[in-house]
Amino acid sequence: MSASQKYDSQKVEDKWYNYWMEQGYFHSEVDERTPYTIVIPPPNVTGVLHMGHMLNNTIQDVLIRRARLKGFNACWVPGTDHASIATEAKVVAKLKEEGINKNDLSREEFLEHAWDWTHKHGGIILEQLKKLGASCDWERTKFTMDEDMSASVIKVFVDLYEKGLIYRGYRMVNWDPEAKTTLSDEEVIYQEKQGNLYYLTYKIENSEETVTIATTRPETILGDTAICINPNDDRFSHLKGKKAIVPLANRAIPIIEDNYVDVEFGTGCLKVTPAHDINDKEIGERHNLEVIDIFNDDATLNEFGLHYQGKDRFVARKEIVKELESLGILIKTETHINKIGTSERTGAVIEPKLSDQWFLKMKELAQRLWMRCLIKM
Amino acid sequence: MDAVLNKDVNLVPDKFVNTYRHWMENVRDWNISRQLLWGQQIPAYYYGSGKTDFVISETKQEALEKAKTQTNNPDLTLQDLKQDSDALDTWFSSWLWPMSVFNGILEPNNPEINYYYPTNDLVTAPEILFFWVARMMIAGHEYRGEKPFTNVYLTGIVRDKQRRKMSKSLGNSPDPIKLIHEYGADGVRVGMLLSSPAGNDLMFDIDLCKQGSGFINKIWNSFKLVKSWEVDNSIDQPKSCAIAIEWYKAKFQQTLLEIEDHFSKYRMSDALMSTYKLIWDDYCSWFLEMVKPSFGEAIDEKTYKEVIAILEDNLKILHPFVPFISEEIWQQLGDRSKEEALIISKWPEAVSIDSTIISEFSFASEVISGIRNIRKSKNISFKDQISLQVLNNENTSNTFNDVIMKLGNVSKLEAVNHQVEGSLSYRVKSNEYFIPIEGAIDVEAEKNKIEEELKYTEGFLKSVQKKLSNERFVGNAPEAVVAVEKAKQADAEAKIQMLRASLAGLE
Repeated sequence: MSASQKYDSQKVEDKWYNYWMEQGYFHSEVDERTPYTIVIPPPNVTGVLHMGHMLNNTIQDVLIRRARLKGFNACWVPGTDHASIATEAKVVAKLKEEGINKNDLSREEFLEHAWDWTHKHGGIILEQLKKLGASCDWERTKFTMDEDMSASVIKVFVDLYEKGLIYRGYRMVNWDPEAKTTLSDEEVIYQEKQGNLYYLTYKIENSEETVTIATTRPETILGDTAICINPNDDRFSHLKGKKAIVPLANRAIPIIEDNYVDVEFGTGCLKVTPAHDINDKEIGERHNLEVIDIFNDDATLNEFGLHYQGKDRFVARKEIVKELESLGILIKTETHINKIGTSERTGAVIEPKLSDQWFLKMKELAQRLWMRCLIKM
Repeated sequence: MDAVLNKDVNLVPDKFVNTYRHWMENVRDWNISRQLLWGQQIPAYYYGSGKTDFVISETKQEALEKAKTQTNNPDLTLQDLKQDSDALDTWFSSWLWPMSVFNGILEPNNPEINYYYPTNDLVTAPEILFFWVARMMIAGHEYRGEKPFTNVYLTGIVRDKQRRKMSKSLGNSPDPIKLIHEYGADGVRVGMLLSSPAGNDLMFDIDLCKQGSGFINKIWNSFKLVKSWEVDNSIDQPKSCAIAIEWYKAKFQQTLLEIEDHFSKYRMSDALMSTYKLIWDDYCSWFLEMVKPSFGEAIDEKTYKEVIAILEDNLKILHPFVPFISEEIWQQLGDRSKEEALIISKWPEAVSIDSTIISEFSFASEVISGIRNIRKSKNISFKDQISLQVLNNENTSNTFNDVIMKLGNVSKLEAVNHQVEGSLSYRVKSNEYFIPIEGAIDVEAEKNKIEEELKYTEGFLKSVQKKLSNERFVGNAPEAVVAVEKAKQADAEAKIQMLRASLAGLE
């Protein structure tokens, strides 16, 4: 391009990027110079460039180019992430369009589809980064499911298990009914939403008496396994040792005492549903309560949902409220602000769920980090 | 605890340190299993239906041996083992990233991991401070006994003008590739960095890219200008050029220090802004004007060579921000071998400078601006030479006199020791500058203009005086109205006095 012409950015940019690549200026090998290293935050393998990437990678490229000019052995490692939930959701959706149900496929068959998808869409984002001028060492491009990368993950899992830091446990976890998987605490986003507080009356077994509880999730009464009162609450001491009848299900459940109950909240009586609430689960463990899980994996009601079986939890809630109202069991409804956990990925309302899962003891690992740093100082 | 934290990792900006520490102190067990297929399958092999009937192993074959020992059953076969169907959380692979990309987990002593690890800077979004950054810290310490990076630079979130997060569903996110086509990669890079202080959100506006590509055009046009000059090795270097070069080199060094300081604190926007101003204001608007040969004339060879050397240094500091145009100009400046590409050239070295010349120029630039203002207000064409006299109360040096003469088109610059009557004047600090009117402006035309104005003002004064001499008006009108008329009278009298003085100066 001659100096007399108008500047043609596209022509100039293609020309020099190709030249830089041909000459291998971006490539780094171990040598006697001081290294300057950046690893890219690996974008989703099937993703496309967005403005956040533009900002982030412009900054990285400025840093790496400056380091190169300053005589460091500059090495910027690019790569992509397999993004388990996001990619699997895309593959499932694509299969669905083709009339294929994920559950009809074997693991190997599904993975084949997923790899096909990855090979087809993977790497687009890295090509886009080249347009921005990113001077990554492309010979070092990594993918988190490359053979050696996966082997590293498995090696670390085994090592942490042998160190006693990984265990399998039956615990309350965050269930994403849309992605149909558990999530870590970090992947749950809490939002305040307006809901209702429903006041329901339970009959006391073999008596004309009733007890009223307040709940935000009336559909979960079908999973109730106790009514809980505070041992210091004189209002209810006469109920001690008696049993209450769960509306609709007509099951008799014990009335138990636990200091956890806040005498100021609702009516001072609490329904206990150990399968669907972390606090109820803890009460359940203290009192050896039965656990009744009323949901399927997609958060529709299962056989414990009685005539609501197969209905979505939110549909079931509406219908149960109507039925309870017509039966005179629902005596009052108040508006109430709830803190609702939603999935960072799918946005679905998280369902607390008891399940066997693998856990890593982060507290112990964090402490080991502090100890190491202290010794070094 | 704080000391440990500060020594271990440098979070930029440091406002994130507290959230990081809070997470570290309150972290709970991490659920790492996912009911998904796409990922690393958990290496747990079950040999029975009991909850603890499993072994953990890297391979199925190894698992079989462990299972045989654990069950005391030597007859177990591979068919008896069933691998856990869950996959691991993606972050359970990402947390190893700075190590695994150099194969530091499988071969912890390989030369690459020992050389490249710990990495220097991590640039990421604050949203994944816990998902990723904190977990990498933990994994790094567990497997290398060392942090994975020295500095963590947390960028802001890119939002639209209404501060909404950019998202596909809102449709408020421009397509980056289209932006690059329209404004050039260099232009977009400048646009992105123009307003992105670390950790603060970036309010993205298309105008930022326009400004970015405007900067690229400025760089290109200034290069075109330099290329258009004819070089003559028989001309001596004018003094104004020698001074201009000395000044720009000092200014460049001063800015280089600023830029280094910004970079050391990860103030990327500020580093860009310092570079931008140096190139646009100091280089293009001042320096090139100072050395530019007059129309139809050639530039002396010595100056030209210095200009090219200065341009090369400019390109080096521009390169990280605008890699493409800087390489293009660099390669047009000479035949470069592959070892001589700008991308692998050497960052300019800092040298100590005498800042006197910078402050001297700063003063001189105001003197030049004063001339330009007067030319503008008095309609004196730049082509018409003027002479300039200075009452040098400030005792400023005359280092830049040649530059002032060139940029002001001044034929004669001389010191005087008293105010010069009959001239246009302005001040810079306590220095007074005088431009004699003769020759500078058309005296007759100016005289006519003043006389006309004088006539009008005198008429106006008469009408005001008439009102004020009317006793009925003064006696009955509200005090405020009378005051206004009196003020009009005073203003008109002052103006008449000034116009008469100007007229006298022209005689």
